[in-house]
Amino acid sequence: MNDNHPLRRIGRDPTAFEAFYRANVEAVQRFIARRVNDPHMAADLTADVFLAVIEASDSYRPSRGTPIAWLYGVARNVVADRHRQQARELRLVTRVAGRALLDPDSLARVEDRISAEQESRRLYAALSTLPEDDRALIELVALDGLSVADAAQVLGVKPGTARVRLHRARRQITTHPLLTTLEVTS
Amino acid sequence: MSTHPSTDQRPLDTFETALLGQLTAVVDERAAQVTTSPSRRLTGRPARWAAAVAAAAAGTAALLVLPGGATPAYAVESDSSGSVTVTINQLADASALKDALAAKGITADVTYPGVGKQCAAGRFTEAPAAGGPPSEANAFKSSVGSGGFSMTIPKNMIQPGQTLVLESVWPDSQSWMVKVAIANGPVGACQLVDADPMFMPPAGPAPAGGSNEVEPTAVATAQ
Repeated sequence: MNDNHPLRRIGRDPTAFEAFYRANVEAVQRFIARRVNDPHMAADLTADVFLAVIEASDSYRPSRGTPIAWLYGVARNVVADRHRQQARELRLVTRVAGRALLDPDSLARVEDRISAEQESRRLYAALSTLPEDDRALIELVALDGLSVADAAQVLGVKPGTARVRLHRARRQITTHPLLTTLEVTS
Repeated sequence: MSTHPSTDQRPLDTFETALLGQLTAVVDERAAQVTTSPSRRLTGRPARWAAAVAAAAAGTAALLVLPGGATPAYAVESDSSGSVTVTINQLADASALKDALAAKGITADVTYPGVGKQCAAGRFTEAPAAGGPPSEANAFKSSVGSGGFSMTIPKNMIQPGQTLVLESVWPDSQSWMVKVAIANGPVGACQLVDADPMFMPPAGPAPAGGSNEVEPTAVATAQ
């Protein structure tokens, strides 16, 4: 089903990939800037996310979520993997070292993006106290702006379950302005 | 989000353009593989990535390096704490690197298979990851530069009966990667097999020479 969805071609069709990349590279970099304050690591992660997208594109199913939800789900897994490996002081296996491609002007752009997302990173850090399932959900909704329905789809839970988790998480973290303004709607 | 460019897209900056070039090469490689090996299922590839990442979590690291002009091929230094720092700039002098590590008290197996080759899996048993949180005493510290990588091995991290395994994969003129692992017990000889296509550079004529030219095959195996 939906084998011809354009997103499923990007792993083996350079033209389709370039179109996807151009359309989403800014969104991916902002996604990362909401979680990482090191510009070199952000560059590496940008490369890692698109490599993961290339690898995973064959498995995309529209029934599992919208393209933006799918992309953010992939990106979230990549960032989480990097944090886990960083905790062990190990490097992520990667084919493309993003930081090696940074020139001074590009580095300044990455730093600007990171600077603009300072508040989001405070929320991201605050979420570290939540159980993993709750954290994943609230990240995608409060931090990245997905609808509850989209976030629930990408995480494989029912929207009702997602709403319960969001309410529970909000009770646990009530001091952050991004969370106090979060509307739980599907 | 769209799979097609939107009309309000800004031009890519230098980093984004360079990254697009490298990523497109990966897609080209996959496309070529589909063309030349129609029976190969692309859906197997994520599993291999997953295996690589899982290996890292268990105590193995793989470090990707882009070529540079740094020389010599390697350096081994120790500090007052007893930690040993290994720097690899080129995939050369594997035997000498193994000897230099031995001089610092680290039993090592350094293997640099040639272009398009790798060691068959299963030649050693990987040591289980240390328990507890990572610390100065039980975790490698590594850094990757433009021309090589450095790794610091804490004192006594490699226990008696264990071997530090450094094994290259995917060596080509563009970049190379070294897998790092700790083996429990003996490390078998490297049985050369074709490199996993995932680690191979895009098809094309091989460049001649280069600052990071690799040895055809160099095997230095610890006792």
